[in-house]
Amino acid sequence: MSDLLHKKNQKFYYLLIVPAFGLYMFALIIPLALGTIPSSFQKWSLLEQDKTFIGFDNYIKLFSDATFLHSLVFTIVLALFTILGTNIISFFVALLLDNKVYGKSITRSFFFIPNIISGVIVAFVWSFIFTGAIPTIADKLGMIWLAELSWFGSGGTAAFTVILVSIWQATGFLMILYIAGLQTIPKDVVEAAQLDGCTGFRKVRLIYIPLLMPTFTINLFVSIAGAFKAFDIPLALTGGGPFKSTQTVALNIYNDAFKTYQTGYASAKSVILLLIVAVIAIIQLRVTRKREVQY
Amino acid sequence: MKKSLSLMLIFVLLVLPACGTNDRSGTENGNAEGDERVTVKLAVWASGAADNFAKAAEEFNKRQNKINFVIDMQTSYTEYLGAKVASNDLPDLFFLNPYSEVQQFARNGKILDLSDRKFNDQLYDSMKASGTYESKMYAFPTVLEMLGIYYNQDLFKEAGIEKVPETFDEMKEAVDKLNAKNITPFAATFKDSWTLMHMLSTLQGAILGDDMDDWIADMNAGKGTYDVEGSNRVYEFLDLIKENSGKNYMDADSTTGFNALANGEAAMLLSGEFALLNLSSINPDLPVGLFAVPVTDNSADAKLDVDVGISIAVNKDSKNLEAALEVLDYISDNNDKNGWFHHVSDSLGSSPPAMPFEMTKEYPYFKDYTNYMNAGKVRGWNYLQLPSGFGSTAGETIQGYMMNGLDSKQTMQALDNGVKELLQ
Repeated sequence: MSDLLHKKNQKFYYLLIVPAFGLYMFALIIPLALGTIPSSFQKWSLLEQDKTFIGFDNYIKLFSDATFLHSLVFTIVLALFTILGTNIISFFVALLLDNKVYGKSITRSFFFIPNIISGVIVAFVWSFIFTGAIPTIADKLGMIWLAELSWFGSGGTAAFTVILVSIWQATGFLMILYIAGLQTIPKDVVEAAQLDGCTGFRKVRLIYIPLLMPTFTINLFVSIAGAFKAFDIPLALTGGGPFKSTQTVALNIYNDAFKTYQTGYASAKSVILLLIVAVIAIIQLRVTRKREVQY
Repeated sequence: MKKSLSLMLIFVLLVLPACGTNDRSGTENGNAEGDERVTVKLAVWASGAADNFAKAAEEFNKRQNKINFVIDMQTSYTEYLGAKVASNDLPDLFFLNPYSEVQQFARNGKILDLSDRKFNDQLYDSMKASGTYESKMYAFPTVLEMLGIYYNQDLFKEAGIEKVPETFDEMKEAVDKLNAKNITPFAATFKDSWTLMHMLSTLQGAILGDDMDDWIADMNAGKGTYDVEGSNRVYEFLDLIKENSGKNYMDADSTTGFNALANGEAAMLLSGEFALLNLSSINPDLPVGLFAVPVTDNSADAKLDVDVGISIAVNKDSKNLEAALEVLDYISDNNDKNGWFHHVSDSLGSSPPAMPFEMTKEYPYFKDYTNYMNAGKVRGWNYLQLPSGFGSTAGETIQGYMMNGLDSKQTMQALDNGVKELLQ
């Protein structure tokens, strides 16, 4: 029945995606095809008029560019931690807030607020927490090791701050999507399971997770794309420092494009980033869509 | 149904904006009744001096009714400039970094030859090179900036330091005396890398001495190196700073460091006069003096690093060229008692013109600067004359040394590679 409906309405469905697709073509596909990809094969500085075609030279160069490769590694590490961190935390928070909890909407708002504050402001607030609040409180409590911990003094601790703040900011948005997903699960399915003695973590594993697969698909997609494009928080929190240790690929591209004006080279890096994200996203979509269940 | 819903959602999500900042906050301030007036725009990068620029523009607009002079402050200036060049839409007047950036714009025929403007007769001779390309003047060297050690005179007295250090040994003694009184010797700013780019420029300049011009030429020809005779002194000085900047010195950004000097929490700060801009709101009467960075054993090497900090160029294709030049004449008039320089240069922490100008206010650091200038104990900056864009590489590399991630040899190697990369 639904298939029949689907066929009948197919034209209408396509019509629905026209506005978004038009915007997508205009803002992403056309600039990519006419700007980024051609210029990735050129030696071009934004401040100079002449562009010289140099074939794959930019691509060859970036694979021996230590700074770029380091930024790629850091981005992957940041992505792993933030994708896992945000999804696990937001899923359990959503489960918690889906039950009858006192002050549910206020609590939901609190979790969601970090998401609507600009990344730059978030980074400034956390900068103050790391360099002002934590040392002062630790001093008062006599925890000397914590008071003397230099959060931005080494690559490891600086990376930790970027990961923590990224998770803190992104959790709220995913939580909202998980809550929306949980509300689509029919009550009778859950009740039937409970009557059969399926409770606690088993209920989560056998009922919620399979039925929430479409939400997992979308949330993983959003967090993967977001993590690989991480830019504002590392920029405002650490500036990519100390000594480029928390430079993400997006930040590395930005520095090349707008600080040293190596526009052609930065375009080649953008194409590589696009390919990496596209491959990961396609694999992820295939894997999670396979696990989606119909009921 | 679920499948198509999730597919659709994915399409919508793909349209969500990709990475990149969008923080162009062009703050315009001009006269609203500019109906009869031609608007002339001066694009400036964000700094603590933006308010002063706006006041100076207001003064110009009050004086006449033909031109509406507007300051357009850009928070991401390098991004803005690149985009404007690419789209061939440069503003009438705009800030440029002196030397290599001005030369690049002149070479590409983007900016007007200003050799016949009046300001050329007034400029200090030593500052003309900053705007010169093929023996013609292409930008107005607007202000001088002075890098050195700004120090709290009260804290120096308290520690019993009678005269400012002129050699590295005297510097170490001064630091010991401050430590003995439990005064933090240096204010840290090392979470930001741009302050470290200035620091490297002063230290390297001190060991290069008279060989600086040759060294710059070698570097730009791709055959020079940071590893020159005496370069160990650069890293000994950085070690001295590292060991005497309080705890968690890598966590302090420039604002924190500038405030530490203003609040008397640290005795010294290696930076420029712009670091004192917020002193006026925190502690305007604090006696802050200035001395040249003493890197070597020879007091004659202790010269103040003074150079042009900002150049103003005129867009060759400006639609209002006449009006733009009239504004530039106003900006470069050093005899106007109530003009541009009165608003922009005659206050605490602001930068003096690159031409004679009578200041009405007196500050200890400014007196020190004048003494260095009169004695000819000044030296140019070197990083501005290396390939444009090298400043940020230099700052990040020195950050690597400050966090103990690189040793001195690796640091010099990384600096050399940074220059070579930009020369390709």
